[in-house]
Order: sequence, then structure tokens, then C-alpha cells
Amino acid sequence: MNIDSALQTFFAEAEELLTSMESALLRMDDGETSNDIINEVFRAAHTIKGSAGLFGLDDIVSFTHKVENLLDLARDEKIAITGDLLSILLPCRDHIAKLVDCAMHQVAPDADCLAAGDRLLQSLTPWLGATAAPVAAAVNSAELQKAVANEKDLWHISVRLGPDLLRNGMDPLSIIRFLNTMGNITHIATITEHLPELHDFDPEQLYLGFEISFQSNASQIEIENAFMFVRDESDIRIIPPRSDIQAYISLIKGLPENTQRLGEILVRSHVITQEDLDQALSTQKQQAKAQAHVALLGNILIEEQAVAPELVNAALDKQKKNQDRRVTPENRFIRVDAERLDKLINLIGELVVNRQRVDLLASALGNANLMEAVTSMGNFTEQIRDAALTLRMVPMADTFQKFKRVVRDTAKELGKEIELDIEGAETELDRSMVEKLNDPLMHIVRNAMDHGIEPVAVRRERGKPNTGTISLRARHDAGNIVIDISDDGGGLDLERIRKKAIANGVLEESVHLTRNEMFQLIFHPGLSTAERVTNLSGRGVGMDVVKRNITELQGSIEIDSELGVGTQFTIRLPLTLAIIDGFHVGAGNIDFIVPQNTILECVDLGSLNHVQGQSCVNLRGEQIPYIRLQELFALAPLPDSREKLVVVQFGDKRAGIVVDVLHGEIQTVVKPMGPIFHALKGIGGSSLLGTGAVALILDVQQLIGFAINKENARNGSLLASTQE
Amino acid sequence: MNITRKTTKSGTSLSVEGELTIYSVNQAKQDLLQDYNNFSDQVALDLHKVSELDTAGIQLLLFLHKFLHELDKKLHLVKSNEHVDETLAALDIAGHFTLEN
Repeated sequence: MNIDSALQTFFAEAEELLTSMESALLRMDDGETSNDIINEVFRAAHTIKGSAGLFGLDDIVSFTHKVENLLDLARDEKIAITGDLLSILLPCRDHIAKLVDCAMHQVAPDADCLAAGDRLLQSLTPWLGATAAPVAAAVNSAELQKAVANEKDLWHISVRLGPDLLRNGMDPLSIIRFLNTMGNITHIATITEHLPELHDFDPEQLYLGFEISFQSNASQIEIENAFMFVRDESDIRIIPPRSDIQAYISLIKGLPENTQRLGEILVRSHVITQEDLDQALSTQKQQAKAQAHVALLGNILIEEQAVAPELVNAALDKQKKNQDRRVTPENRFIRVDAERLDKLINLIGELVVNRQRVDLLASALGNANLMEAVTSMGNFTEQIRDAALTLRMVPMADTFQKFKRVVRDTAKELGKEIELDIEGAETELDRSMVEKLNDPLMHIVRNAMDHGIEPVAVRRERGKPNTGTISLRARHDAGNIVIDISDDGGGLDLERIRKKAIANGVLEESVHLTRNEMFQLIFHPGLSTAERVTNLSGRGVGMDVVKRNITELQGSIEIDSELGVGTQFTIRLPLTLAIIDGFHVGAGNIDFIVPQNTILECVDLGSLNHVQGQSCVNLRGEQIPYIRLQELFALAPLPDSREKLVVVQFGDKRAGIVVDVLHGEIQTVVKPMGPIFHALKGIGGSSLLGTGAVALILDVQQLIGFAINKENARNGSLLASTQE
Repeated sequence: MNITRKTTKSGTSLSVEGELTIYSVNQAKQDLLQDYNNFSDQVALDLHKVSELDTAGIQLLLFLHKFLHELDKKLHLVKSNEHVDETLAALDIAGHFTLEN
């Protein structure tokens, strides 16, 4: 296994473990107190420490070790985990996360960070001191991490050969001879334990293994390559010089043979000293309880071992654990680099475009069989596309999880009682969007806590329960994901917003705004209604950034609020930005694409009743403002155009887009517009058509805004700058 | 490959001639162990005339050693050649086939 990729695995694993640790701590904070939950926290700390030790990440090891000690005491019910202790343990978790982060970016933690760690450990002392004796149990762990100092810089190579190698014409002896040309084998032990009884012994089958100490300047890759031809069938483990003793212990534990015997081999080969070995083995025994759940990383080794014959009791034991692990959920997942997924999705995007080209060519040829084949291919292409897109979907749960912590900490800081209510955490969203959604959500939630939820005294006065509630709800709604963030706090004071906006020069005093327009004012840059600036919010930067971020994701944000009752933000986002179903239209001689999920209907413009003197039609009694693409983008008008009206909807707003030609449905791969087009309004992206022509993808939300504003302006109402 | 097995009053001796490799180990196993019940406590091994020895051959010798050891019999190498010595040394197993005293 390549060290780099193992290290990446460690980071990913640590992140997951830290998340589960946090979630468990928070559940404890909610009053849950079972052994399972303490175990969960302990295991997370223990596994991180163990794995960090393998990679020589000493900062993580030494800090996590102390935390683990404390958790061990809690597991043995020597101390109780109280709210006070949780208030230290949560920051401890954060500190571990910080250390892991430092390791990931290959920087040493700075002095501040280390000092903060020391302070945290200091504050743990009262609990650790509560019982003096049990601390000794874990003391040796630090010893485990000690790098093995052998002056010769010996590699250790552990080789268990595949049974069929000899029959396949391989001669492992030649590998050993080859190693001797790369360096110097200082010690070799031939493992004969697997040689069977007389009648079972097949001379053409290979039963041998080797433990090799190797002195060489060769790189790990070079050494690995020596085993290139036998690697697939065999179990080859290579430990670089100056590794932690933990690495050797893992090796011993990982191999099927008798622990004692392997230990002796290592001692004899001068890789480790007898002292190291004894100490390590006894420490391992003390930690056996924790080992009940073998470190996840160790898992990989055990997995490999599943093919070796189960000879020794120890091996049988591990085998059993191995089987137990099989059914646990984490093994049903495969970790995949996000970049690879993106590459796959890009390729599928290209496939979709090419399919359209084949489509066009086939219909031009008019061969019925060919067209049938193309249609069924199209069917599968669509399915592949959908399946590929779901690969990138992640549940909102992780994001929501973070807020539990934020709400808990902030509520304490503010001296308020706030509960977070989460619904629809299993709702899935494109991963790239989840990441970008984090900050806006965080800001809204913080705002709700800071300004929304009233202090306890005020709440009592208003006849509300002492504990305020903030709810996060996610759900799917017709190709969109909708996230509601609501609180039962004070609500938005429209009069104050209005005054503030006038004071800040955002609004003319004479202008009348609708309720909705007033709410949208809070997204205006430089407008904050908080009377007191706290370190959380109220600096007047933020809500405009929230709006911008959401808009960048092709989404919308709406507010509903009632003074004294509460506020609700509703964020609407498309499920993915990569590939969409579109409707191909033409205006002037330019191709446009309207996202399919925004379209309500298409009608002939000429057949409709126009509202006198306005860009507005009466559609079955409803006034629909519209906008002409040809006018908006100043395109050359087509002669004899029979204009069509495409009625679109975003959120609860409707408008019409007037085009010259309707071409039909089309699958579209969205290519983002280059930075020089950022100022261009009304266009969300571009796409290649099957013919090779470029089509512009309309930003329906903005177009609806244009149409409505245009109408409002004509009506003499406000053209609010908040309405983009 | 040719194997000679002799059991005399002075003990059992096994000698291998030719190549002891993957191509001959099956035959060698049969020939070497055909009447192991009659082997004396000390079994002498003559590899002087072995022309080639590979991992399969080594494994067979190791098996022989282990098997006889379980029957409380001792296998020791009495005659060898450069190639055999070098191979045994490469795997550090020469010790298996020497007399302890």
C-alpha cells in the first residue's frame, strides 16, 4: 500500500471519526448517557491516535492520548461525564481536528495552537486526577509511538507467498537474490510453519514465507517493484526504516503466525529490541479492551489477511472479527476521489451532447431501424446521466449536524436557551452545492440566534416557552431542493427596516414598498437592523453575501416573518448544476435554452389578450408580465416571426419570455460562462448543441425579475435595487 | 534427477543427483519418503551432486526436515556443493541441516 494514499485514507477517516465524535458528544449533552455512546467517543479518539501513530504524527498522538485517557476513565465509570466536562471535551475534539488539519497541510501547528492544546489538557487535569491509579494503564502508549532507533536503517519486508506461484513458473528465490543486488539482506527468516502434514503436502504448492531485514538506499517503490510479479497473489508488507514500533506491532498482529515467534524473528533481526517488544506487547494487552474494535486502518491489513490459511488461534479470532465487520455499514461504501467523479460526469456530459448529434444525423438519414436504435441509446444515456449525478449527491445530514454544535455553543455564549430542530436531514444535494451552502446557512442560523430568538425574560413576557426553537428543514420539490430555516423569535420589524433603509439612503422616504420588497431589503449591502454589534452578526455584512451565494447557485431566497412570532427563510436550489433538461428556443438567430423545470407552458403570443400599453398579457385571468429576448439582448429581429410566449415560474413568481422559435426538449450540459461574462445578466451558462452551435442558457430567475421590475417601473412603483 | 536411498547399520543416507526443482519435486517426494518408517534416527543427506536447486526444492528439503523432526529423527547435510551452499545461505536455512554437536 502506498504511504501517501494510506495517509489520505487516514485524513478522510479522521474527519469521519471526528464528526461521529462530535455528534456523540452533542447527544451526551442532550442527556444521553449509555455505555455505547461513551464507547463511540472513545473509539474515535483511540482510532485517530493509533492511526496517527502509524504515520508518526506525534502532535496528534500526544494530545489525543490524554483525551483518550480521560474517556477511558469515563468508560470504566470512574468519572461521570458532566456538562462542564463536555464543555472541555468539545473544544478538545476541535483541537484534534485542528491538529489533523495541520498534518494534512503539512505545516507544524503554531505556538498559539500548541498553547491552546496545553490549556485544554490543563483543564482536563481535575478529572484525570480524580482517580490516580488507572492512568498507569495507558501510560505505556506513549512508549508505543517511540520510533524504533536502529542505527542501520533497516527495512523490514514481510512476505507471504501465494500458493500457486511455483506452478506458475515463479521462483521466489530469484526475488531474494535480486534484493541482494539492491542492498544487503542482513537477516532473513524462512517461515515454515505452514508446511502441512505428509499427505497434505503438495511439493508443487508453495507454503513458505519470509521475514527479511534489508539494508538499502532503495526507495519504497523500488523495493515494491522487486515483488512486482508475485505481488497480486501474495501478501507483501514493507516497513520503512525508522518506523514507529507500532508499525511492527501491527505487522505482528496482522500476520497469521504465532505472535511470539514473529516477535522473536524481529528481535533477532535487530529491527527492534526485546525490551521494546515486551513493552509493546504488554501495552497491547492492556489496550485489548479498546482493540475489540480494531482500528479502522488496521482493518485494511486484516482484510488482506482473510486469504491466508487460518492456522493459529489468534488468526481465527481475527477472522471472526473480520466477518463481523463485513456486515457493518461502513464497508458497504467505497471511497472515491471527488475529482474522478467529476471527470466521469464531464465525460457523460460529452456523451449526452454527442448523442444529440447522432440523433440529428439519424433523423436526417431517415432510416427507421437506426432511429429506433438511437432512441433506445438515448434512453440509456439518460439513465446513465441520472445515475452518475446521484453519485455526487450527499445527504444534508452532515451539514445540519454542524449546526447542532454551533447552536449549542452560541446559545451558551448569548445566555439564551435555544433548541435546534432538524427535519429531512436525509435529503440529498449535489456535493459541490452543499459546500457552498454552508456559509449562507451558517449566517442565517447565527442571525436567528442573535437577533431572532429573544432573551428568556422577554420570551416569558410574550408568553412563549423559555426555550427558543430554530428549525432546519430540507425537502425535495419538483427538481429543486427547498431548505427552510425558521425561528420562533421576535420576527422582522418592518417599520424599523424601513426607517433604517431611509436613514442609510437605500430607500426614498416617499416610496411605498410591498411587504415582500421590505423583507428583501435586508439583503441590501450595508443594512443591518441590529442595535448591538456582536461578534456573531450585526455588522451589516452578511445578508447580502448570503443572497449573492444563493444566487450564484442558481437559487433563490425568500423571507416570511411576523413581528413577535418568528421568521422563516426559504432557500430554493436546483439539485445539480452540471446537466439539466432544457427547452431549446430561438430568438433572433441565436439559440437559447430554458431550464425545463421552470417552464409552465408555451403559447402563441398573438393569440393572447394584451393588457393595454404594457408588456403584460392576460392568461386565463392572470396578469403575466413578459420580456422579449430579442429586445433584451438587442438581437436582429427575424422577419415574419410568429412570436411565442414561454411562461416560466421560479419560486412563486411567474413571467413570460417571448421567443421566435420553439425547437423542443433537449438535454444540456451546462458550461459555466467565463469570468468576462460575469456582468452579463439573464444568462446562466452556455451549452453545445448537437449541431456544434453554441446555445445560451437563460437565467430564468433573473429574467422574471426583469419582467416584473419593468412592469413595476411602468406602473410607477419602485424599481428596487434589491430586485437585481 | 536420481535419488538413492540406503539404510545400513550405520544409518539412513539419502542422496540426490541432478536437478531438485519444481519439475522433479513430486517424484523426489515419493522417492525420498518411500519407506520413512524404516529410517534410522540419523538421516544423512548428500546433495553433492545436485545440479540445480530452486524454491520448490528448498521447500521439499525443509519439509523433509520438519517431517523427520516430528518423528524424532534428525536430518543433516553431509555433503554439499557450492551452489547448494549458496542457496541455503541465501535463505539462512543451512542451520536446519547441520548436526548440532
